[in-house]
Amino acid sequence: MRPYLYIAKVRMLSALAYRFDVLSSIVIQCLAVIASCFFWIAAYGNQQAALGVTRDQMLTYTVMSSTLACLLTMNVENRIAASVQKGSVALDLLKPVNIFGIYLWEDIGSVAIAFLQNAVPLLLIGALFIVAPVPASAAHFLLFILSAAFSYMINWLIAALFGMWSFRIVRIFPLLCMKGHMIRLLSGSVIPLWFFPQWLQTVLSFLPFRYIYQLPLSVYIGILSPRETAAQMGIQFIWILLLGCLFFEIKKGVTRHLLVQGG
Amino acid sequence: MLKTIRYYAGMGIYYIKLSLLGWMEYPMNLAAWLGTNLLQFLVGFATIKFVVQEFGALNGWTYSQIAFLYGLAMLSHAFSIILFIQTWHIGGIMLAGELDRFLLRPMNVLFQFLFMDFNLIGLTDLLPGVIIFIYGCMQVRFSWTLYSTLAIMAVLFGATLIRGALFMATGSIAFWTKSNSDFSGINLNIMDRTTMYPLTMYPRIIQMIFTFVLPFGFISFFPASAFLGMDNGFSFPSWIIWFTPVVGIAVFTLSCLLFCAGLRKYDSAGS
Repeated sequence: MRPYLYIAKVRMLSALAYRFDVLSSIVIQCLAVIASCFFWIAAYGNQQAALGVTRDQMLTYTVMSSTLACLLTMNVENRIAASVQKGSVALDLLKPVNIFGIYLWEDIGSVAIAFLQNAVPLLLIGALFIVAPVPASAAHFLLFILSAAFSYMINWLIAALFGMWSFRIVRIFPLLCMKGHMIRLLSGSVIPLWFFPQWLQTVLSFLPFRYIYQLPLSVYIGILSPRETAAQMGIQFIWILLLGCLFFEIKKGVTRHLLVQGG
Repeated sequence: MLKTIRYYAGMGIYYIKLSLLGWMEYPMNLAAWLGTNLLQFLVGFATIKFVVQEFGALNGWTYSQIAFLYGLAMLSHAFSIILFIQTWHIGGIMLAGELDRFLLRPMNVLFQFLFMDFNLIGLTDLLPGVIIFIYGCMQVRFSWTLYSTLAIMAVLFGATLIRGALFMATGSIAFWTKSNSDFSGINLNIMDRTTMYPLTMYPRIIQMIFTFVLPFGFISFFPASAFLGMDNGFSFPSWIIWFTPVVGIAVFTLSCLLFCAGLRKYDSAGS
């Protein structure tokens, strides 16, 4: 465990070193969340509720979605791509720790920093200018934390699975962009899925994406019944297991047939 | 004088040919970007389609009118990506010593810089842009006359320059900071938010900023309002359309002056 904690710490320190990047990411996130909230305010107009969700719940959803988004920022995909391209993956494999363990703990280190650097300012801005993003109740909040932790695992596994394509494809950047847009569209992070047509919602309930954003956020604003919450979090957990199995299977394959160009 | 123009035009075409050939080397990369961009617009479009249709209207703009606004904004976005992407990385170009090479050549540096990269990937933005714009035009039954065609072209010309001016101005900051700071994220984000939806959904003070300080309202919101005869609490006269190219030329000239001022101050990154 010690080496992994050290990796997380190094990641935190290096994240702090790039002041401009940090500042610009904070500014972008704050502007984006304020703009999204104005969009929803304009959309609701004089309506108090739409599809069973009140305006304030929707605004809370939006602020929390952005907060969750900065905590769910993954580097594992780019990390794999970069180390395969540079060839440093060979060195990583030689280290006496698990290579994907390194990547995971680097990302966990980033979450700690992202929480202080990005999530706190976002929540403050949201509370000051838009609406105080309070959870439906303390119990809802605790369930949200648990569900968000599950989301993190699902999101990380998907990112890692996509990242492993770089063992096969050289230019992986467009593929990663595509994955990002797909998650944005299908997870309910930008628009909650209840606005989608019924058939699309049915299709999406068989995919893991909605369990990344929509589920924890719905729990937070308290629009799910206890039964629905339990059932959906159960499915969320099953997705972690499924993706985890897939991940270990593929990992075995790619690291065995690793071909480093140059390096 | 004529000889100089001929020389520059010839070189410009040659530069474009070179970058086209460069991009053609990697057809799969291009295909991947096309897929990515189509998906990105799908995200933006789904927002309009599902949300605005659910609520009926957004600040008095119906779904079809917003589709027109969105399409108009997409087109100038695509043109600015094709023409001005190199301005995102002035800092990087400088630090890599590329700029020193430009300075040594017997040609205007600004010209070389503007023509150094004709970004074919931008075409993958253009395709979805064209599709959405045509769809939007059909939705609002846009009447294509000689006047309206010319007006649309003038708007696209001006809007592309306004976007380019912002990229160029923020990129030129690198001359003073000598750093590789990337403003493209902030720039794109702000422009997306102010051009794809009606500006009137923001408070009055923000509307003022995006009219007089950063004139992004001229990219799509003012012209679209005038084309569609929208009533935003006040209606725009139809000649506001012709302000877009004027504003575009003005701000782009300003950003070029900033670039040249930075260049005069520039004394190599030492690479």
